[in-house]
Amino acid sequence: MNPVSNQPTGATTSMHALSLSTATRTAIQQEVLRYPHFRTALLPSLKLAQREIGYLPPSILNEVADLVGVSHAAAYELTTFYSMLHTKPHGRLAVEVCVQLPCGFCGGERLLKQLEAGLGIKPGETTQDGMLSLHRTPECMGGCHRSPMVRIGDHYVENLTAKADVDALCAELQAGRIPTTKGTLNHDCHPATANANASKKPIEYTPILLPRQPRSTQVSLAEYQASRGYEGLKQALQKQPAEVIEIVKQSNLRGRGGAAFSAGMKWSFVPKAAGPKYLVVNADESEPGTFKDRELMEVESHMLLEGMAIASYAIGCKEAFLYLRGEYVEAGDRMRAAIGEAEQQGLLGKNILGSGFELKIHVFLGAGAYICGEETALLESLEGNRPMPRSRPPFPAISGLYSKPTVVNNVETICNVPHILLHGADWFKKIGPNEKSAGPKIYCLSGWVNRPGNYELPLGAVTFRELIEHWGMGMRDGAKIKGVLPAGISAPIVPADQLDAKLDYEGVAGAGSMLGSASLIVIPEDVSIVRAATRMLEFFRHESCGKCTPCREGTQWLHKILLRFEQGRGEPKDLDLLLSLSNQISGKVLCALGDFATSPVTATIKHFRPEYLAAILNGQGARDAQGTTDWSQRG
Amino acid sequence: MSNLANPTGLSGATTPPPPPPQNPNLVSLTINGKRLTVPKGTLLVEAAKMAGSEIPVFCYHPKLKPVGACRMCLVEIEKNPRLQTACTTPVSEGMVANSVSPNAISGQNAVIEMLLANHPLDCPICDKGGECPLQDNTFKYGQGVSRMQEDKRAKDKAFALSDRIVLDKERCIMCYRCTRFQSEIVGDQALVALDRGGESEIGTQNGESFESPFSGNTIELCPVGALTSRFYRFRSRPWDLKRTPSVCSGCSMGCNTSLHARDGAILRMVARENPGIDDGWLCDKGRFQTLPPVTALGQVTAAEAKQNRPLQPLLRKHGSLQPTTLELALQRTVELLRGYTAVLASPTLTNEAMLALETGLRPMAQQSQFGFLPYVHTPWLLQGKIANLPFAKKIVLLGFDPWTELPVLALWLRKAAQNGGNLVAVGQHNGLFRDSAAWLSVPQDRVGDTTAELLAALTTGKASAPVREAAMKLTCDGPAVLLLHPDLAADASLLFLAQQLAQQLGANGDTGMLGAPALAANARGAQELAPTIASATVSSHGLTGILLLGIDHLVPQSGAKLAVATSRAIEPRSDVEVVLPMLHPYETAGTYTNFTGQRQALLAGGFVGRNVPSDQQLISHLRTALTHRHAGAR
Ligand SMILES: Cc1cc2nc3c(=O)[nH]c(=O)nc-3n(C[C@H](O)[C@H](O)[C@H](O)COP(=O)(O)O)c2cc1C
Ligand code: SF4
Ligand code: SF4
Ligand code: SF4
Ligand code: FES
Repeated sequence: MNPVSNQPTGATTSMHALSLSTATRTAIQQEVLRYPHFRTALLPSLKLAQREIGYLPPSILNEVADLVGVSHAAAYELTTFYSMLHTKPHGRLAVEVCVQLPCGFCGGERLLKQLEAGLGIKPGETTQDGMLSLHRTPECMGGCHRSPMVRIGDHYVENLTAKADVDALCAELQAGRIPTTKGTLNHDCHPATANANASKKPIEYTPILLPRQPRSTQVSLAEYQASRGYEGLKQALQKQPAEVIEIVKQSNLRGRGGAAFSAGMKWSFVPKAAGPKYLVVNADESEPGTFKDRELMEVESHMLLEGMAIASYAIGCKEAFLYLRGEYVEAGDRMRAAIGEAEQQGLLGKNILGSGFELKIHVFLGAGAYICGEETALLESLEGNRPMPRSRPPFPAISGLYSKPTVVNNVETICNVPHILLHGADWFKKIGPNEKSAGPKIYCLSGWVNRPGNYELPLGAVTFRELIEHWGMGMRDGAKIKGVLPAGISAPIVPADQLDAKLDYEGVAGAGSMLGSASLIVIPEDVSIVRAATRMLEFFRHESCGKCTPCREGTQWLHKILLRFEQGRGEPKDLDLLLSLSNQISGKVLCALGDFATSPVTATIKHFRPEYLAAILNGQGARDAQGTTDWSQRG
Repeated sequence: MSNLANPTGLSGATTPPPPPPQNPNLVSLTINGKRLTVPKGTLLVEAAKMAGSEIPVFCYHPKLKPVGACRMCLVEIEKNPRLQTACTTPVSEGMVANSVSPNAISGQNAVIEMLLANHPLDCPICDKGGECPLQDNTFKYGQGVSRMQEDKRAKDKAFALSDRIVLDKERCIMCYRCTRFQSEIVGDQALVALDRGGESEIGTQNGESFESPFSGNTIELCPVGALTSRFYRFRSRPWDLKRTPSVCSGCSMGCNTSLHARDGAILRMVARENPGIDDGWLCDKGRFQTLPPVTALGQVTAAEAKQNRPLQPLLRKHGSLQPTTLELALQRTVELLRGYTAVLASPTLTNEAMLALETGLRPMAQQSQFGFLPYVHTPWLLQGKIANLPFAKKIVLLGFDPWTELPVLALWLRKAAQNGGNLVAVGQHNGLFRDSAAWLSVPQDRVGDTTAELLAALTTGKASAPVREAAMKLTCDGPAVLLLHPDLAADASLLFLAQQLAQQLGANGDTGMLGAPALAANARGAQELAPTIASATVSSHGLTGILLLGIDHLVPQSGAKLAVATSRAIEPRSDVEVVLPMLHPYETAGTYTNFTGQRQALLAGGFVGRNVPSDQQLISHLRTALTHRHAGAR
């Protein structure tokens, strides 16, 4: 933990300021001119204002609204939607502790209790001097492989397992310093470093997307170029855009954001006619248990930029957006720095590599809303609107950002592209056992394993069990596995007896679930499944955008019932009600979030019904195997 | 995130629709077993109506963009494993849709149950009771049981959004009709959705009032009793109302309305869509400010009692206004009109009254000056139809701000702008600033100079940069609209410039619109049917008597004695000699001519007693009284 000298941003400004400084006003005016449409500047402007004032009281909201040119109500609408924007005074430094899965049972709850004691405030409270506020968040912040973790202002502090570290952290905070996460190391997740005790290593593999594991510092342009960086772009620029699309199509690269749709196919839907087109890279990464895009951006920034340049060239886009979740400030800063480097070398900007092709990339940060990962909600967010998913048709490829043809791809998807251009579609198809879904895949492994982290392996080359045992170094304290959530908390739990399934789309489907973004949360036998389900529903209730009736009302209802179970007030008939309500949500809503929200309920009841019944019969609610009624003793 | 690839159509992209049928503009499909052919692009929910099947909806509204939020309209579509919302699904060739299959019905049941989970069910005390889509759909598509045993969400039940509208946050079903209206139709985003998930609610910026010239439409759009009118609240039940078609008297737009009265008292006025005039909207000025004062009703509030209008003639006697007979009141009025006097009429009188005034009364009272208040004559009579407006590509407004003058006209011009029309406003006020390609913001007395410059920019190119830029927007092809404020049209040189500019733009009445619009409700009728009176200017100096006909406010005190014929309460000022009760336009049968020259019928929507004459009757009584006086004099 290194104390840094920079003050918490804005801390010197008076709390009573009723108007913005000239500097902030100027910055907002620049935002308004930065994007193709002025309204896109609304969210960044609100964030700039909050950075100065600490929160967004009515006078400030109105000032921002007037500067951007929207109604006062419109500014308030966004402020109340996003969880990182505040209309009420808030600690200058928000100390946010993740209690979602996996953090919750990996020490997150313990950490929260320790911070309560150490800082002398309860969750939701602010210190008397207004400097610190403590928050218990059901939102995952993308630090699961280093849990328990806490976000302080714009910084992550992770791997807080030792009490001494927590004490030191409290002391730093009370002294008014922000500890930083810079220097927090990744676990060594290079595929070559497998469990020495494991019987046999399933495969040999040299990583492509994260070749420098376990590195956590950013790769410079020079270093990237030394390993053939930007050669894929050179290859692409010598071809016709249509040829580039064809190569990517041939490679069978499927989207890594969850839906696994062919990337080349998606690009080919973009109309060829002239006119603005956009590439939007989805770096919202808010699915609990997912932290791969963060590492890709923080370390392999140029790989992503090169992929974005190739994709933009292929679809005819001159202005691309990288949409990061609001918490990824560090990743955003590093991406901006990398863009600067690349522009200086003529790898981005006007007339790239003398080809006449030009590309401007905007780095845009959200403000705390899982739904912004859904591609059409993301587009609404970029447009400065309340981010609720759009109904389709029209599809984004026809009418997306600003109603113009738009391709939305995940960070990892795009990071594959330079390699495909450099080595060819056939090379790519040969990675992994299945040509139809080929290529490298980063598995985010988290939960009760000895070595959580990002493991890059060929798609479908290993099983759940192999990943956990060989690379995850097995279970902590030799615990037994209760089950694995394969796609963050959004797909059905795979119980312990199904763990020999292969980790590809078909394999996981065979085990009754979905691979999605391949974020595996390993739940140990002793953790109460009723509490786990309740925690997951707390997330969905918190993150439902509220557009569709069944999701808006249903997630809240399900969570309320589960809370009763957790507290020992469930009734046998409630199990049927939970299943029936899940059925009333699933398949009847606009976006997949509503569907996602039901699998924690239905799959856990399916596989662990006796635990629910016990929570009723014992009258004491959710109990972990040790008899504990919360997770504050764990991790 | 899970692998939800297509066919669910949730993520990624899908292939374009299958090859078109023989006639590329038509699509054949089957709905609930019935085959039909409809225009391409029709939404399934509309096609179902054509097939005679009603699909229940909440968020869908034909005038608003489909959102697919409430999920009420779930239907089963063959080959699609997932239920689809009929309101967002365009028909496609060979589609087989079913809204009454067990699967579709279970979807509809689910949505109703979820909607009611947190709904207060206070129908007995809800204004919407009896005309509530939620009530109706629950009855038709719900199962009638609630399995919710948790506490319902508690929220504000009577949140005053403005001095016109109250919001019941518990009743709101988050259909976004109101917010979409304000952002799509009005464009001011004065009302928005706050928070998210189950905590979502409708609102404005914290503490600010919901201010928009069109806010009242949200009351009508709201499918539940969440948005209610503060005037109408708790006044009546829908089944006790008598509904009469009429026309708004707020301005010369001529928006069509329906008057809702109980026991003769008009309690509210709602829109009655005329696609060629109002597109189904009313402005707040018309909706809330033109109704006659409530009378004859038990629930009159103290404030309303004070503004109660006279229902019988009054005559000044011993220093105060006292009830009298119509004969005596008319007699006194006729006396007042002797000598150097004036008759000032409101342009909101009906056409029939206008004619009676010009051809009946005026010839009988030659020595009196006749005129309208406000002055209505326009030297440049408007040409063109409202139906042309959405297609206009060039729109110039000279010193004229429809947003406040003819509000619903502003919505039409906004439609044109949304369709790619370029709007250039010259003048001090421009409510359409969000939709303007350029706004040359100058004081009203500089509109003439700027018009000259704009014309120069288009002809010689000589003009300042902002004016040249504005002119650039007007060089495209397509129908043109040019509207000049009628007050400015009195300036002959500006009028000439405006006409030249209109010519330069190619504006004509067949495809566009041009002229200086009449502003008051029946001002155009006044000019057409009472041309002499309309073009006369009345000099008020040294008048001994004035008759005010249908004018809402007294003229400034001047020494002249006043006779006042009115449907409103009046200040009992000492110069008022006679008060003649008169029916409000909403209580009479007659016609109005709107600013484009279209004549429309008003029907009597309220009733205040047999003894109160209409404007036309009163004028004829006056004529008779004058005739007698002449006869007597002779
Ligand atoms: C609720 C929800 C959250 C999502 N979150 C993300 C996300 O954080 N990152 C992401 O890439 N895709 C996310 N997706 C999937 C996107 O909608 C979209 O399918 C994806 O970005 C497309 O990129 P790909 O084809 O490269 O996978 C989410 C989908 C849903 C329904
Ligand atoms: S399913 Fe839920 S999150 Fe998705 S659009 Fe509907 S309400 Fe919003
Ligand atoms: S107030 Fe009425 S119109 Fe507005 S969202 Fe709620 S239910 Fe719909
Ligand atoms: S625009 Fe004029 S006619 Fe229409 S509702 Fe408003 S005041 Fe009445
Ligand atoms: S009417 Fe179709 S979703 Fe609301």
